Amino acid sequence: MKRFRFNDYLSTAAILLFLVVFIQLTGLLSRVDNVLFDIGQKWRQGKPPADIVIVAIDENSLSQLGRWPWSRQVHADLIQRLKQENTLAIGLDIIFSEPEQSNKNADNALATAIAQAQNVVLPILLETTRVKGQLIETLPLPSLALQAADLGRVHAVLDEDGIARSIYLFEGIGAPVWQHFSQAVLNVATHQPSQNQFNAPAAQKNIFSLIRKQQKRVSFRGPPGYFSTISYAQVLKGEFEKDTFKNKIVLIGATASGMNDLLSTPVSGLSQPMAGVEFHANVLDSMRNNRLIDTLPTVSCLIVLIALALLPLIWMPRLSALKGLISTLVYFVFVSMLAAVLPKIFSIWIPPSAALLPILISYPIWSWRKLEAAQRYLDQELTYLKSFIVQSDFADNTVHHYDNFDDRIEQVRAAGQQLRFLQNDRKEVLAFISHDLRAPLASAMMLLEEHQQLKSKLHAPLSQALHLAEDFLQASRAEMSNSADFKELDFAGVTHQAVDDAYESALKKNITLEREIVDGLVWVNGNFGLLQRAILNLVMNAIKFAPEHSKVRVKLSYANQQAVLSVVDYGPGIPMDEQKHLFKRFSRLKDMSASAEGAGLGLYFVHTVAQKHHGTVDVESDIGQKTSFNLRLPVINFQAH
Amino acid sequence: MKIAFLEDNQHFADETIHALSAAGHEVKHFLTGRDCLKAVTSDTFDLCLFDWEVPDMSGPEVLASLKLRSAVPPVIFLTGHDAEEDIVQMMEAGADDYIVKPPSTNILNARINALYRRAHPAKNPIESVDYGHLKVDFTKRKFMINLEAVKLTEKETELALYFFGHIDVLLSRAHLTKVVWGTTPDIDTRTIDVHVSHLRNKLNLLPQYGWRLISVYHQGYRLERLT
Repeated sequence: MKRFRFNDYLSTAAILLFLVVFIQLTGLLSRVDNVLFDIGQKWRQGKPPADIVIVAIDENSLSQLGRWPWSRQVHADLIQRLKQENTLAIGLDIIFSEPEQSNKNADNALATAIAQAQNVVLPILLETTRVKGQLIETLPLPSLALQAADLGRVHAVLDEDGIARSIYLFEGIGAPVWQHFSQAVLNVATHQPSQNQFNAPAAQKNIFSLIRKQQKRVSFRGPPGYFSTISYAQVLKGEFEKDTFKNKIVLIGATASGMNDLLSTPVSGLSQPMAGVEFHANVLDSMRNNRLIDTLPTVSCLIVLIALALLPLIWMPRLSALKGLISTLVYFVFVSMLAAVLPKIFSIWIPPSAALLPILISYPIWSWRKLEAAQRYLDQELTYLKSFIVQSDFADNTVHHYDNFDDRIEQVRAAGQQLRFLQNDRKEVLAFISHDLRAPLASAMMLLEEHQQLKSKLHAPLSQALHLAEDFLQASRAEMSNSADFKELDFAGVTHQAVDDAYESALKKNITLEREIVDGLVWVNGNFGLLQRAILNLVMNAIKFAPEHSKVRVKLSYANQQAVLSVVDYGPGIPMDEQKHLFKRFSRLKDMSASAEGAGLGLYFVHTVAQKHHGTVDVESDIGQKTSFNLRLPVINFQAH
Repeated sequence: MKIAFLEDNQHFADETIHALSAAGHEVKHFLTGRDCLKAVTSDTFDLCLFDWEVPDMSGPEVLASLKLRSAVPPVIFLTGHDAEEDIVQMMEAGADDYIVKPPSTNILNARINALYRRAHPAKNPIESVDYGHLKVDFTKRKFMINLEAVKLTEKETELALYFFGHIDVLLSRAHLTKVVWGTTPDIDTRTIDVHVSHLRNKLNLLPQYGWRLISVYHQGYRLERLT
C-alpha cells in the first residue's frame, strides 16, 4: 500500500503543477488577480501627505470662470499667484498644444509666468490622430515647453477590466525617451535633473510604434478626494489660508466630470472615479516613498506559485476528510490575503490565481486519486477473497462487472458476510469439538478404568485424542479472545495457581518445581483463564523435556512496568533453527516421537495469549544446558506484600 | 446421601452412578429435564448433580424453574463447557459449584461432601483441626505453623477461618465480600485478591503441604485439600 500512496502523491502533484503553469502562462484568471490586488489597495495607510496639494478645475471653477477652455491668461494669473506662495513644484496637467487664436498675448503671458515660476512641469501626450491612425507625441507649444522646468508624459495603463493600476516609467515613440509626468514633478521638487533620455537607442524595426519600459503598479494611498484639494477659482481669488502652498508640491488638473479626465482605480468605486490629477498624486507619492510595486518576474513567480500550490500535499494526506477540506479552505483564504497585502508591505506583487485554483481543487483531486487507489485495492481484495471463498458460496445476485463504487461495496459486503458466516461455522465446529467430541472421549477414558487389559493398550491413543481436542479448543479461545473483556487481575496469583496445577505432573517425574515469584501482587489487565493456561503450558512443557530428578524453575519478576515470567528447565535444549518455528501453529520438535501428546499448539497458544495481552514470549536455549521461556506482559502496577 | 442426577448420556451416567454408589450415595437418575424437575419438586434430595445440556431443557433452565417453586438443595453442574463465560453464566444461574467432564472420582466425592457439610453443619462446631504442619484453632481464632502462631490481620483471620470452614466449596467473590467485610460498602475489587495472596504466603497454602488456594476464573475462590 505504501507504493500506491506514493503514486497518488506524484499524480496529484503532477496535475497541480500542470494547472499552475497553464493558468500562469495563459493569464486565464488575471481578473481574479486584479480583484485581489484591488482588495489589498483598499487598505488605507495613515493620513494624506501634507505636502501635496491639488488645485482642482472643478464644477465650481467652471461656473465662476466660464466654460472650458479658459484663456491662457487665466492660467498665467494662477501661476503668478502660486509663485508668490513659494511652492516646491507645480505640475500643470493641462495640454497646451496649439496657440491661443483669440488672444496672442495670452500665450506669452503664460510663458512668462512659467519662466518666472521656474518650477512648472508641463505634460506630453501620446495620442492617435484618429482611430487606428498614426500615434503622435503632442508636446506643449515650444514657447511654453522651453520655459518649463521639466516635461513628463501623462498616462495610466488601463487593464483589460478598464481599471488603472500601473504606469510605465519610460515611454516614447520609437524609443522610450519620456519620463512619467509624476517623475518630472518629483524631479523639480527635489532639484534632481530630468530623466528624459533623448539619447536612448531607437527601435530598429518600427520607429513609429510605442516603446515602453519598466511597468510598475501604483500603491494607492486612498480613495478619490483623499489628497487635500482646493478649487482653482478660489486660488485665483486668493481665498486660501496663508502657507497653504508654501514648500508644497502643487498639481493642477481637471476634476470636473464633464472634462473627460477621469479614471477607474482599485480604490474608487464604480460611481466615484478618480481624476487624472489625483492618480498622478498617488503615483508621485508612491515614487518618492519607493512604494511603486514590482511584479515578480515570470520564472520566480512560477516557482513561488508551484510551491504554494503543492504545499497542501504535505498535510492533506495526514488529515481526516473534513479536516483536510477545512484546512485547504483556510489555506486558500490565507494565500489570497497574503498576495493582496504583499504589495502594500513589501512592494512586490505576485499574481496568485495560478496557485489559488489548484489549491482550491487540490483536495478534490487528492480525494479522487485516493478513491481510485481505494477502488484498485477493493478490486484486488475482491479477487483475492473470491479466490479463497469457494465460488458457489458467493452470493450469485452480485454484479460481476465492476461498474461503480456501490457495486464494489456490495461485493465486499457480501464477502464480509461470507467470512462472518465462515467464522460462525468455525465457532460451531469448535463447540462441537469442545462438547460432543471431548465428552465421549472422556467417557471412554472412564470406561477404561474398569478394563485393565484394554487400558494398557488404549489409554495412550485415547488420551492423545483428548489432548488434541483440548488443544484445538484452547488455541481458538485464545484467538477469539477480546481484550475489551479483560479484567484487572493479579498475575502473581495466576502464576502460583498454574504452578499448583502442574505440581502433580512434576511429582510423577520426581521433578522439583522451584518457585521464585515476586513477593506481592502484580496487577495486569487480562483474561484469567488464558493466562493461567499459558503459564501451565510453559511449565508442563518444561516438565516434559526436563530429565527425571531434575528441577524446573518458575521465576516471576517485575521491573519498569513489565512482568517477566521465566520458566527454566535443564533439559536437552532447542537448536537455534528450530526456535523460530516454535511459536507457530502445529510446530513440533523434530526429534519428538510421533506419539508425543498434543497437536503442537501449546506454544502457539502461549504466543497468541501474549499478543492479545500486548506482551511477548521468547526462548533462550543453551544446548545441553538449559532452556528458558520468557513471557513478558505490561503491568498496571505492582503492590508489594 | 440422596442425589438427583440429570444426564442424557447413558454411558456416562452409568459410570458416574457407579462411582457415587460406591461412595455410599443413593442416586436417582433422570434422562430428561422434565422428569427431573417433577421428581425434585415432589421428593426431597440432599444434592443435585445436573448436566449443563440435556435435550428438552437445559440444566440452568431446570435450576431456574426449581428456584421458582421450592427450596433447592445444593446444585453442582457437570459440563463440557469450561470457558470463562460458561462458568460465569453457571454461577449467575445459582449453581453452587461445577465439575468439568470427565470428573475424577476423588473430585466428585470431595465436592459433594463439601456441599453437604455446608448444607448440614455439625451440631457441635469443630474447635480445632490439626493438618500436620498447620493447626487451625476455630475457637481461639488462631493459626499455628510448627507450633508458632501466624500473625494475621483481623480480616485475614476472618477470611482464613471462612476458607478452612468451607474446604472444597466454591465461594464467589460477592459471597466472600459479604461474609468477611459485611456491610462495608464498595470495597475495592482488589481487596480480596490482596488478602488471598497474603494467606497463600503466610499459611503456606501450597501443593507440597496438601493445599491449593485457587481462583476460579476470577469469579470466586476455592480452598482445595489435596489427598
